[in-house]
Amino acid sequence: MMVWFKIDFHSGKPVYEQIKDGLKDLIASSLLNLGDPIPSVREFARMLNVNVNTVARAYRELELEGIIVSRKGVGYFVNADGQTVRKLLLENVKERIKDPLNKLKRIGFSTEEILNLIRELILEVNEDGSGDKA
Amino acid sequence: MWKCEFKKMKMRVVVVIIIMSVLLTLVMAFKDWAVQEFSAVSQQVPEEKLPKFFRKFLSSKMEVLAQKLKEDDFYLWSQWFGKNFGQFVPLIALILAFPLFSREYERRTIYYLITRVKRVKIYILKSMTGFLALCFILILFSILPLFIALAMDWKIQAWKFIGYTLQALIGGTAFYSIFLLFSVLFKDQVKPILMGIVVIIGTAFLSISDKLRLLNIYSYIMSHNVFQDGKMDPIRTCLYVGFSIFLFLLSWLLFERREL
Amino acid sequence: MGAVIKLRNLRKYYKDVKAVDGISFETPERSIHAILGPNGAGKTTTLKCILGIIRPTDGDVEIFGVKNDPQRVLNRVSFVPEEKDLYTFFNLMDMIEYTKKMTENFDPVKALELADEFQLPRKDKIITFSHGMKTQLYLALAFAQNVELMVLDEPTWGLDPILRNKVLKMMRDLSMDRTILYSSHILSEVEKVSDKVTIMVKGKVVFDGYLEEAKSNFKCVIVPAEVNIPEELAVSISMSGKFKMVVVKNEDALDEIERLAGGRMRIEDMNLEDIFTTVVGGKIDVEV
Repeated sequence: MMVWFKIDFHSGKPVYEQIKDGLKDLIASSLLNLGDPIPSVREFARMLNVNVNTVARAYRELELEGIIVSRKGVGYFVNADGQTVRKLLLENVKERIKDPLNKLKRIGFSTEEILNLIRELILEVNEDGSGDKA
Repeated sequence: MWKCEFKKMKMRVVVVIIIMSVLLTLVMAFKDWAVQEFSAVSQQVPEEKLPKFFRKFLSSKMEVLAQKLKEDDFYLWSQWFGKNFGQFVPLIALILAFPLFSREYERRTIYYLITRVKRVKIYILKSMTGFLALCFILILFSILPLFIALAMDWKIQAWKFIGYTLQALIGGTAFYSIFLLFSVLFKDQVKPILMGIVVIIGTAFLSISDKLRLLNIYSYIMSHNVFQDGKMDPIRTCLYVGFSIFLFLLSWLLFERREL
Repeated sequence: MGAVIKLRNLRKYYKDVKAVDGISFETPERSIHAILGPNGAGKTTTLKCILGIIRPTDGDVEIFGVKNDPQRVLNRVSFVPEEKDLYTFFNLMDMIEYTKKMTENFDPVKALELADEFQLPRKDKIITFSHGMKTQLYLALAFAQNVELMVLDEPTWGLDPILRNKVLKMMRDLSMDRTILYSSHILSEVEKVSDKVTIMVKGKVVFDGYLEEAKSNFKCVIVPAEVNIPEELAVSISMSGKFKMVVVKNEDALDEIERLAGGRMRIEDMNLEDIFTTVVGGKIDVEV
């Protein structure tokens, strides 16, 4: 059975964090939009084959962060608007390139070299079709 | 719950009833033949092999016995309560009691029980179904010979049967309470049987000494005093009843505290 | 959320062995709480002490607020023991019927449903059942009880992988309105399904906490061997060639180490196997 995203129980990353990241990813990539409904805690737990307590914690924290909101009697909904999405997008990418960048730094690449790398990548994207001008 | 505990005992009860029925049939049906045989044997005491005085003693005793057997009353009492049935009572108690708890320990189904039902309830359930089965069998085979004898027009003193029945019941219960204790104590089914047999043989040996009369449950069951004097033995009756109650309580306490 | 079970300094000593040597933990309401440890760690003894099958040498066991009197709460607990033996002369249907008579709050319809889900034969006598089948039947009977607490001793032992997953899923579903305490020596299963984990080794508790929290807090930091790390900072410190591996369990320690190492460090997340190895210290004796 295919689910929204896969959970790795044997990872060092707690499952509730994986759920949070998974949902944030979906919102950031516009697969989930502002106002879209999200499954209830129990439903989602069943879907992902995880404990109810785990989903509950993920939802709790996402609610505190303002990413989702619960409406009494109705359910959970995506609460992230455009700005939050952009912030999320940046957060996400920042999260992902932090480690590789740090690695490059430690190995000894200079800031200039790393910036060049990034410029290259952005130009590549342009050649593919989408994206801003450099 | 009760039905199921009885069901667990079904096989043992059926076997006991079959054996006792066969014995009863033999005793009741073959009275004349048995008396004849006994008379014949008593007259054939081998002369050469025994010393003179002993020979005389033996043959005179046997003549008296042969005479007595011709009386229905004596025959029935001596052959049934004094012998076939009476000797079997402790065995019946053992057969009914030994697996009650030890089988559950051995088969490890005891865990199923004690996590569902309070220990005291389990104890009452098991000890009482065994006891009721015991009562049923003992009363049945105390009363049956009476009715059969009356039906066959034997001359017997029917009222004595109350005494026989009660003493067999109380004596049987005393044995039952001992074997129940063994069943609670031992973790496998073999030990209670072995200990039970040791107790039965031990009490049989006690009949040798007159001083240990009080401990001799065997003779109490055989009810000689009821046949002879027409009344029950009050001291031993109270003693055995008290003894049984004490052991029942002891077994319960041990079961409550038992580690499993 | 209160604690359904509270153990305080539980001890069970036998003549020559200390099976349980002073353990304390709590099982929170509506959680799945696993006692994880190698064989011989004292898991079964602990569960039996909780249920009153064995009497503790010392210490307190509190269930539903009732102290040291497990027989009083029997009707609110269902148990699957290590020895999953049932009456061999019964068949499945008889066993369900018998259980209905012997157990409060038992739902025979549910039991039959579960037994069918396990594809157990209805009419064969239990004496013909394999160990795995007996386990499944025992689980079906236990899961069909409408109780607040389930105590399971190695519930997946002897089952094939597909069935194991089925049982774990059932446990998860049940935990939505029940509390489950169970013991296991299979680390990967515990990792999949437990909210709380208590690790026992040789009669003692070496770890007791929520799994997710532990994963958030426990980190393995790799620093150059020369860096001096004070012992109080770490859960464990070990050498591996040119590097020092430091296991910490809070953020402050991480910051301190970064300072000491001058930024020359690498942080690794830790999964349950890593945490287990660290707290047990030495050979792993569990199935991973």
